Amino acid sequence: MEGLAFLGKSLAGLLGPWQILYALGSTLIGIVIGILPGLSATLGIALFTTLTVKMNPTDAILVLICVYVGAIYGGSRTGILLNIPGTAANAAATIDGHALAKQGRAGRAMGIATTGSVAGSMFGVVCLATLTPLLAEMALKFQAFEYFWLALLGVLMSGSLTGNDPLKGWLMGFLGLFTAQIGLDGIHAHERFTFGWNDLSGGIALIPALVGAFGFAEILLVLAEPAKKAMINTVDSVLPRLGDVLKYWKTILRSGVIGVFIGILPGVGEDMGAWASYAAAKRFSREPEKFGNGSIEGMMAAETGDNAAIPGAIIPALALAIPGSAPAAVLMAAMIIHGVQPGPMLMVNQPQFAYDVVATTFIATLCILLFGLIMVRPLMWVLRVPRAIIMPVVFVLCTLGAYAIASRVFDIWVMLVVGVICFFLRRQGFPVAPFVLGIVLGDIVDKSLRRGLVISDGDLSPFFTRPIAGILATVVILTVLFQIPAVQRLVARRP
Amino acid sequence: MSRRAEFAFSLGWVAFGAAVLVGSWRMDRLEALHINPWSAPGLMPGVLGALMMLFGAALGMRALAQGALRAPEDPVSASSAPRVVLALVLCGGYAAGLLGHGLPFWLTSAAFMFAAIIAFRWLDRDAESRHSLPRLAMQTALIAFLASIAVSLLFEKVFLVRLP
Repeated sequence: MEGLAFLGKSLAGLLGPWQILYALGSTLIGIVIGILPGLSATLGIALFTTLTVKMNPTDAILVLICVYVGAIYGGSRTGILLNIPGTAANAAATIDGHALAKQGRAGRAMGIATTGSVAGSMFGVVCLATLTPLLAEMALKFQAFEYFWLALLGVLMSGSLTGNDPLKGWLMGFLGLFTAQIGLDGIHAHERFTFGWNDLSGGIALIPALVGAFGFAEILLVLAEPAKKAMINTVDSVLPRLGDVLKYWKTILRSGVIGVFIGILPGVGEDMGAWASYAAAKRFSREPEKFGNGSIEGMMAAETGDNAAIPGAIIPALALAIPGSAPAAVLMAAMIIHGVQPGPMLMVNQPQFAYDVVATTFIATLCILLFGLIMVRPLMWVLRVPRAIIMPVVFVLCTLGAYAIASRVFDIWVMLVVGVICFFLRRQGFPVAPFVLGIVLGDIVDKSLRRGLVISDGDLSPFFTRPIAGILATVVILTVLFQIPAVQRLVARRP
Repeated sequence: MSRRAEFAFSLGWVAFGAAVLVGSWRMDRLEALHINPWSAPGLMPGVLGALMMLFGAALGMRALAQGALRAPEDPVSASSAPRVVLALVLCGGYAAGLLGHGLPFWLTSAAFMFAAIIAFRWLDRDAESRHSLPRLAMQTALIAFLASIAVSLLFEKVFLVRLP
């Protein structure tokens, strides 16, 4: 009951004229970001973090969550019409979405995307409201040992699942963790790897690094390849149908559960939510042969899964301060910038804020439903703007975004250097999401390891013998072991 | 990605990991402050350096096992090199060379956008509807000027952000 009272108060607070304007405007911009190939939800949230730095925390988080939800929703448009997913989360939906478009049913595919996205987000919002307090209460028992493994697990899982090669993903995760060690250390305030450079004493700030990794690197990747002529398919009726919800309610429910679960897993993200939901839908479908050839059920499952993963990814960010995905990591960093400290104590110190996030996600879902009904066709013009125009404008925004938070030219340099390094690494198949997770979780991993060792006086056993720490350690070790070919062969040989 | 490039990158990871490990080992352990030795600031970076060396070596051995030394150069990287260099020069020149040196933000941004847009639109002219160069230049100048003014006003007047 107390939770409902908090939620009611949060919803009432979001119904002011400015809040409605913020929600509509930022969701629309989020959809445009999602539509544009190359611009991701993570970059959108990072850029808007700098824009909203002067706002009050609730309004700022409203804007950021609307951009987040809008971008994940908007990315399916590009996948349906151009066969290029707008964001990584829409790759699964692109398979059947584009197949439907080739059959002259692009509008129908967009309607399904809207239905699936709204259903997935709504399911996720319910889970966000109910699971966050439970997880936070459980996490109150966590000590440094558990936090060390949990944060490490986030980086390793992100490395395992966000790219095609876990080894490269883990290396990027370690690079991110190392990047977070630069500057004053969190226990003794001793300078690490600063080489006497004052600007480095403050460390590598997350937002400039992130804008470099997701923004500048992406701009270079896009501009490196010659543009191809865009072939946009014709669009029929785009209206979502209630009948789809009734017909595919089992798929929606299953995909919602999978999406939220995948979202909660540290560092995994919306794209895996979509793929796992899609695979499960195919496994349980009566028409599995239609998957890949324009299956409405497959499209529904993918879009429900990725949107349900959004609130799912926010749950551990709020309750544990361990984000479930790269965009959630930036969202968490924005919360910290606005003076909110995510983690188990959030539900004790600022419970209203947690419900503000729930209400905000709900409002964002309503906004995507509204724009799904009225703005699908007008937004398609975005796809006709040449990328040679979009990318330089985005680079100016990236430069400003890197600079704006601390007004330091040094942060522009950080953006440039990180962007160039990530560009070359991405071209060689090294994923960026684990790097970002590493930067966000580096401080927790460092402090938890050292605090744990101080508590145990150098004894490593509590890292393995405490019940939850032991489980997490086992998962971490198995995650790495199962990627070793010899171990894979051994497991495959056993009956 | 070619196996040859993967092997070269693995050497980079091993070298970087080794540098981090050495840097961490040589880092002050603050013994003069009588801190608990397990809270030494170099502990975590040292572990990460060792892990980067270990996993980098694993990447290299895998690439070698898959014939890295016999594999040909990646032709895709070489063909896009001029476009990459152009993008790096334009973006680097704007962000590192022009900004923060006293020039007005709107002017430097408009100049950068004009140069970058016209260069890449010209390179991508086969994918766009064809325009003559003077018309392309006029159109690009207008876009660059309007975008620069809009971004400056949005950040400075609406979101109260200082411009570089």
